[in-house]
Amino acid sequence: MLIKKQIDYKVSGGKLIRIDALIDEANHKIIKDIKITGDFFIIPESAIFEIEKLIEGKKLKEKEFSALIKTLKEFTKKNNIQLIGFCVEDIINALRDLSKKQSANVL
Amino acid sequence: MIKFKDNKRNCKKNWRVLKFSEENGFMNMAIDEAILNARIKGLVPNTLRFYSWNPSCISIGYFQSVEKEVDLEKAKDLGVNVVRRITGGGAVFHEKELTYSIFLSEKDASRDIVESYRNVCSGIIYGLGFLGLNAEFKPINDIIVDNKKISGNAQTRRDGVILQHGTILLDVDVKKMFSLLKVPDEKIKDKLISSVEERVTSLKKILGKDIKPEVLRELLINGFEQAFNAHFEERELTKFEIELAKKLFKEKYSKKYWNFLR
Repeated sequence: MLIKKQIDYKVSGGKLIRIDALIDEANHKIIKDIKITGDFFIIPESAIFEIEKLIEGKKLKEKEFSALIKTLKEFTKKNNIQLIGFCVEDIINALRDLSKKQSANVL
Repeated sequence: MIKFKDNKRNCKKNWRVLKFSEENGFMNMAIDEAILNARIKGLVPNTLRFYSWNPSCISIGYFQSVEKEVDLEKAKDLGVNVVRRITGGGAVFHEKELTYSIFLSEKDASRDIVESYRNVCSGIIYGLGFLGLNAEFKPINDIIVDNKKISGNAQTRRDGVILQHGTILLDVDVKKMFSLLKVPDEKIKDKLISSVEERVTSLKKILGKDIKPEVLRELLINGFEQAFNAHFEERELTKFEIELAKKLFKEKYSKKYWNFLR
């Protein structure tokens, strides 16, 4: 059972992270699909697609988040990717809010 | 003494400023990317460009969802184009404003991105200073006067070159802007409009009269000369840039795959 979830997360300082995701609720809350949009900056821009790929397949669960922070930080550091207006922790905080949010649509 | 002055002038970096142009949004973004590529290839010096948008246009940041940010039907009704930028940042309604873009070697600005925003924005701040305005840089990417936003800016970097573009508001119609941009909560739209009206200003509001884009352009060129200790020579786009811009217009910026990328 895939559930569509959306969250708007306002980073302190003003930028917005909007997450749209498909969550497999019955199967350990696996994130099947994620799109991160908003008015932030990433250089190079194309890294957003790789960041999304790194999150896909992970579980939308609190105990998974610290490992995901590590993965994303290693990825950005290794590839010299700069996040401006937000940081890796903000993505995770948005995911945390998403996990607490009641589901919107059942597909 | 005179000789010393001459030497000093010769030491100034010779950069290019393009003639003012008015294009549609797809071509404007295509020209910016074409210049960026020409600068990366070393075919042109650091370059400053000023332009406006005809018809009026909404540009959205690279990471934004076009369908979530823009009322596409309303845009169509009003004849407003919608284009995705290669730079991040927020949605901008381009009407009654002056847009600039600057293309710099990374060596000519701070390595730190927010600091380099400050470097480029100081050109605008000096320029606005000639009008008697006390403008300030507000990190990450805004310029404010009396704590109200007058300019938004967006930057990207590729292969050692910085592209920063941004707008300076000549006048502002927040109601029209929000008839085109979607807001998270329709119920608080009126409240949002009045709060944005309070937080955004324009040269018309401050000066009490219209200022022509051509006049502002001259002041800003002087401002950028001061900020970068450079001399700007007015020149045209090269053949390479024109051809590449036409190609990018046709194959990228006027295409759905790009504008609906996210």
